[in-house]
Amino acid sequence: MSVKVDVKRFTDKIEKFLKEAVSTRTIKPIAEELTNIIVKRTRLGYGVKNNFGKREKLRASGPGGGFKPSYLKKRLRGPLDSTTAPRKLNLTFTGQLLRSVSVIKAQDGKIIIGPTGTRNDGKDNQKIAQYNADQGRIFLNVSELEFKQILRFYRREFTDLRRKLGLISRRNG
Amino acid sequence: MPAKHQYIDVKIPKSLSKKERREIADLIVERIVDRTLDGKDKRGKGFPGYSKEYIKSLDFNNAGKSASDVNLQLSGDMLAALTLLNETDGKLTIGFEDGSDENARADGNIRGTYGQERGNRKKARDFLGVSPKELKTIIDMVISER
Repeated sequence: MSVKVDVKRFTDKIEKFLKEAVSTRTIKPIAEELTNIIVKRTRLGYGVKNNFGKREKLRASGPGGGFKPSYLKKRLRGPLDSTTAPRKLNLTFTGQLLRSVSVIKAQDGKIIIGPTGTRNDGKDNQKIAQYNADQGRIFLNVSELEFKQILRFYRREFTDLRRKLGLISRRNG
Repeated sequence: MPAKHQYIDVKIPKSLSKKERREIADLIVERIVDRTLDGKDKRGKGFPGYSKEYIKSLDFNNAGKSASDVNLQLSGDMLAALTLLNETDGKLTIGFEDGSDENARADGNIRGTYGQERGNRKKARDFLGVSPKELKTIIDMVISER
């Protein structure tokens, strides 16, 4: 379970400048920014079922999309990670899954981001992510607006846009 | 009550080519985002501070926000959705897709509604706009690249 973004696929579709984004110099910071966006969005309680689709609220398999009563009891007992609350659906209990999400590969025009390593209880983070995905809680995708955020990040960090915005800012405060 | 469609019409010289109009629109969008992330509204004034409840919220913490940095960015989706809606000779329309979640969020900030029916000027954070001076800088920049 990981997100694979084929940067080359979008070179013609989006903007010419993305062609440059496949270089090693630029792709690593892009991958790190993308990781931050995915983790933050998931902590806010949203998943993305299809790449370049819209984000959706994460739902559990209990009544009304909430937690099953037995699992809610466990969450109420805690201790929970500081990034969640008993009734908050954000794929977090101990916080280990989302903290393990990192850049696995960022080269040759491809970015692979996913959960890594094992947890305190010996379980594999990738398997936990896969279990959630099987339950419809898919978070390792990129929404259209997240992709726009990445494009903006790239343009501001690595293109002439940075100079232009600096100039506009200096003249206008 | 549904959110108001949030957009601005920007008058520009009719002599500009389509490519130049799009370049200007792009720079206006980026300027608005830049200024908003810097904590300033369309008049260059600082945004009203976040409420105590919001600062204490889990989402505020999870987004890594700071109480002293009012930049209208939680997930980043609202500002990412700001776009050129239409362009014709002499006019650009910049804003949010009508009916979208991001338009609703922008409307909440711009009118200070935040889920309420009535707006509140004191709480409003109107980021959607470009000053005549900013516009002139942008147009001059694009024309100078001819």
